[in-house]
Amino acid sequence: MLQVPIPEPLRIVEPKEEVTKKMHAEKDYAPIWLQLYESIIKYGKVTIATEYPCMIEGRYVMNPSPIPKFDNPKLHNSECLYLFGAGREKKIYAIPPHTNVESLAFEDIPFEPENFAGKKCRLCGSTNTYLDEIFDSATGERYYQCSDTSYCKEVRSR
Amino acid sequence: MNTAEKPVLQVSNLTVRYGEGCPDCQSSLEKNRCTKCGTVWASNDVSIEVYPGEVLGIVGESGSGKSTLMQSLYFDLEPTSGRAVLSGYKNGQVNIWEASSAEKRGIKNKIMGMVYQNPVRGLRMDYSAASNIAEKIIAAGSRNAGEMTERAMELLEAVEILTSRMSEAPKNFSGGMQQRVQISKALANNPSILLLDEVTTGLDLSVQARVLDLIRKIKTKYGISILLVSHDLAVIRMLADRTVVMLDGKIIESGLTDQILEDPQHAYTQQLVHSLL
Repeated sequence: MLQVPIPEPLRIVEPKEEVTKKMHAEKDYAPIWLQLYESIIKYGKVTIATEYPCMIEGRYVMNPSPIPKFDNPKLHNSECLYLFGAGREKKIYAIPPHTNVESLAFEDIPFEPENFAGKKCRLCGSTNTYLDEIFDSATGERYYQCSDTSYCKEVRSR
Repeated sequence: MNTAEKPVLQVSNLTVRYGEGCPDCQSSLEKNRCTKCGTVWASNDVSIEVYPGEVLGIVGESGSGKSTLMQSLYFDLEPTSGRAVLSGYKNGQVNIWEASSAEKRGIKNKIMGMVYQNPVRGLRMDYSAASNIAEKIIAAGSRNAGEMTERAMELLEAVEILTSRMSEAPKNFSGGMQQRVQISKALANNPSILLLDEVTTGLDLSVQARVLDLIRKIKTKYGISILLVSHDLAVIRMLADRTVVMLDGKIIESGLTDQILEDPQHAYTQQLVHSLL
């Protein structure tokens, strides 16, 4: 179960709820794709780190916030039910188990999650989690540790 | 222009009115407003045809109904009644004003291109010039970023904007450049008709000349049909094959541009032409 600050993936491109509802109904996701394209034009790659939009069962675009795009592939065909809640907007949405979840990507520029090859959590040693980079200004050293602190704790307690 | 061919666009009896109307409206109009019920007839039974490769000019003073026609065609406002068909949409058999909103979006993105007088209406000022063009291509269904960039470069070159500036936002461009980005955006999906609404108004003379020259080149290069609205007869003279003159929401005269300008029949057209000369 995840708490989501902005559940509407189209909010960034359209402020009106009535319009976003219509856009979902008509599968009008061009503005979301445009966001990705603009990032490619400006920075040469898609720089969205969190709230990376996903296409669910080839029909609806969803905001998987707050998870980093590193974890987007874990939503695909998952064994568990994912619940996303936005208290302020009184909205709950879900990804049922075994659902097709595809991070949006252009045909010629594949989806690219963060790459932590060769790095591991300094606390639990995990190599399969999203790692926060911590810079120690006193020593000048860079550390990596799990962003998901409860998972990190669980691994350490095993 | 070939009037023997099927029109690219055919508008029949377009009426846009603001107000309920009354039985005496048509006989009680003062300019385009009914003196009895106050209804304004922004467009009053307007019919036009645009043929393949033709530039049809619409000329008239402010409030004559030129922009109402354009806005109706681009679904920016809903007509009260009328029919418009495009040869590129369901073989010209279906009234575009009765299309679903998704179909209308498809028409706007694939069949028609629009250039507004004010670039703020036609462009995303904070997005790059390339993205402005790509927006249309994405909306038409493409998901290939490389192809979009290639097309954006090709179109920016065609409108004489340096491709090295394609990642810059139009808000940093001059008025003339913004108009040229709008034109390139309108051409993104090779539409069959381009709607140009007062595209040179507000630009200084040298920039106007450049934009007009560009439109002429585009017409030659792409063989595209153009519906050109302007209050400026010099613009119409330079670009339009045929011209329609509007006054108070109605068409009062139409014909070949040379004919309209050299031998105007209606008193208003005569006044308009003489004020130019």
